[in-house]
Amino acid sequence: MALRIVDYDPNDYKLAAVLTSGAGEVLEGDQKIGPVFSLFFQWAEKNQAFLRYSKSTSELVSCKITRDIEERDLSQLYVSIPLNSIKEKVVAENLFIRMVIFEVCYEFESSIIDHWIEGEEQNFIIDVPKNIKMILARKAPRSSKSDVAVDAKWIVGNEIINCFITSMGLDSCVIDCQLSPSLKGILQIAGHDFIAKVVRNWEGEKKSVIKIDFSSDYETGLYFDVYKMFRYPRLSSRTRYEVEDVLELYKRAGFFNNFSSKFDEEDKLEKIKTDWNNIKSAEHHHTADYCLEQSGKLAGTSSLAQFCQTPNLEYWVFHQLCADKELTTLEDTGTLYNWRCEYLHLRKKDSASYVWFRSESRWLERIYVKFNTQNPQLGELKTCSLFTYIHHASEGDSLNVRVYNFGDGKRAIYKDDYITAGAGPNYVHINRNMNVIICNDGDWTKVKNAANKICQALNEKSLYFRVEIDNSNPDSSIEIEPQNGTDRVTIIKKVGLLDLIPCVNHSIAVTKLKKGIK
Amino acid sequence: MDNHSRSLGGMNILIYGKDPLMPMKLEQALATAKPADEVLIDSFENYDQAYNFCKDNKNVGLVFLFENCGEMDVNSVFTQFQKLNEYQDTCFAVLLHNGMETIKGLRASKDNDSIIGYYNVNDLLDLNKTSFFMQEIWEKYQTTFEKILIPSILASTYKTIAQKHLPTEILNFGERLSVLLSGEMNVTWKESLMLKWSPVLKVLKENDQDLIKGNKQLFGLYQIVESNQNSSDLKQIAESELEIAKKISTTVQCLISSMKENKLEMVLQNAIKEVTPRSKALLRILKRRELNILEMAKASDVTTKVAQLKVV
Repeated sequence: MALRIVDYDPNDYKLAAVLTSGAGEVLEGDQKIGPVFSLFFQWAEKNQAFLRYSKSTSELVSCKITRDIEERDLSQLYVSIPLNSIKEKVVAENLFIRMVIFEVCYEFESSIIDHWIEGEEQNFIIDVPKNIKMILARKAPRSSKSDVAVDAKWIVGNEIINCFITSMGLDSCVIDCQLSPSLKGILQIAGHDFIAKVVRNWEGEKKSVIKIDFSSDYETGLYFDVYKMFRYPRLSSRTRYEVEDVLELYKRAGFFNNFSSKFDEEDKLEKIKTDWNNIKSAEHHHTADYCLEQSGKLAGTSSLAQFCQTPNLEYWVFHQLCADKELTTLEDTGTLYNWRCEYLHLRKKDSASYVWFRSESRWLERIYVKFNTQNPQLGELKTCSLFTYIHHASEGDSLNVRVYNFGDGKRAIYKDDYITAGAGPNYVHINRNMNVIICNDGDWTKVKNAANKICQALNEKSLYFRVEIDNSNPDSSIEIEPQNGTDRVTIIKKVGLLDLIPCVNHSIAVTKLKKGIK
Repeated sequence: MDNHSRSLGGMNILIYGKDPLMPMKLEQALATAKPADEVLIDSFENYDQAYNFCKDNKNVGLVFLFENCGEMDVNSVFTQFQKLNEYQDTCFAVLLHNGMETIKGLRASKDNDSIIGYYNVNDLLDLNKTSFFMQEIWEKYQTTFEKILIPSILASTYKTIAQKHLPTEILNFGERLSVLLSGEMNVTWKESLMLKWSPVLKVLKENDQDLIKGNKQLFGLYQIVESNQNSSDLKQIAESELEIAKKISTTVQCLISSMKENKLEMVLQNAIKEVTPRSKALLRILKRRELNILEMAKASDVTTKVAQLKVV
């Protein structure tokens, strides 16, 4: 029976489910194999294929896989490779194919139906496989760049070996020297010592894989700063830029016009500068802010900030993403989204990531609904009502409020069964939206009570808050501003962060096709 | 709904409604059931965004409309979208309720022939059922379109007149062969419909052209499958630069001619004797379906003779 490129099965309908299959899982039957090939052929620019002609060889040759677009069902596959890319003449009956789609890797073995040479190409026609093995769910692949090699030192006792890092993954990297497996030592990168262990080497090759054993969340941030050179080479820490330049980018991108509220302060820009200078030392502890460059110009920026924490859980917000439309592409916007997933995934503590967005952006709505449809267990997506208001402090206590250093500023957090709240420094977000109160039972009295406690703890007469609450009728004494009628909030569990990346990338690919962008 | 890559033929599907999150949830449910066409499905909660989408694309053929669609009634909203379609006759709507049918919804779907169904959105969102309901909606869509294009009385008239010029068994064989090949080749739903009618329409065009010229839409659509090539070489047809649908109609005409001359088996076997995996899809399919085609030829003959006996 021929394989239909896209088919459905009432019991296993989720095409993208194949992206979340576990390593080693074998996909059998048309209903499971169909989606893999569907994705592969749908997104030609997102796929890669490699060929091995024998199980025993490790030589992988990049190949092109196509199909006959005139037939409705997939009955055979066409594979071609450059004529001299395989040293020996292929006499095998079967080919081993490895396909990579949206960074997920599959391998299958298939019998050769026909084989010929035409021009500079060696061509094969192979059977559609009966099963496909998910060889590695490389959701966090090691990245390498031909023009990037980072200096490092491998230190064991008094012995110091100078080396280069040639590729990096989220918790491991490859260095250009051969070390004994299981050897423990210190890998010094960018002046920081990471406790590490050799987990793999290759016989006869100057190459070893080193796994890092992070000792703190701060250390994961330092590691990410190096990792991004491979994975997101155009991304730089915001601390490298003058505050004025970044603010200019926000202005240029229309961020203030779109999101500023009636509670704006006249001296806002000065206050932002002061707070941003104060929170520089909060980087990798409570914030992460990165900027994207294009041809030497600042083109985009996005941030993460921790708005609350408990001993076992950190609450983070994806916030203040802006991109200059003239200078950035959709892929750049994807970068500004994706680094945050990897950054938080790397941290040691468990986390819940909050994203507030507006449904007018169908692109964002598509990303998060897609993610939620495919992975309902990895997060939550709901409509929400957002308000902003200024709380004027009245007499009261600051019981159960925890105040801690947030860089050179202070942050106060409060959490009970109904309220999760945090405030300070005011301009962690350029519109003070990191002063957050989330109330899950619709009671504005509880919101006011929490706001008052936080004001007392920070010794502030008044504070601006963004409130998420399912109650649009607060008592008339509160001056509020509904932010938008179409707001959404999505909460992503740490375990789901890396699954968001294929959703972002797939949504970008879909949006580009919809808009005819090449 | 057919799931192959060209089935919609570039037609856009629009989802519009005011219930928060629901339009995108439906978009993603449909995209999951029909991934090859995710790029053709768009959802909106904002009327202006939806309107502009229809205006910019001009080929929205199917609208999923939530009952909660704002201040305007559903028929008015749908009419606004429909009139932006270049070919208004091919734009239909499916009305959606949230679990409870309403009198307003029932009335709207009764009053407007272009509303082809009234569904519970939760059924469509249930990923175990999405494909089933999409298939049902798609069949209704095509049936409604076919009825508008060729109403049943007209259909029998066309067939009766065509039978005056070509034996019924040959027409039946042509129709069945077209359906068989359309089911194996990557054609759009419109091409598939026109291929089914192509043996009849070809005869009418050659003998009673005025009859179908009067049906401008049908005549226009027939052009997408009509081929003026009269080749008797199936290999040449398969390897030609013709579009897929035209290759099929030319192949059908070739086999109809050979059937008329009692050479069907010979022509078919000549074409497929050298078919290899490198051969074009059409030839590989003819080889795979050789027995079916020969059986169809015999069955058409027998069916016609039985029908003639009944008349006698």
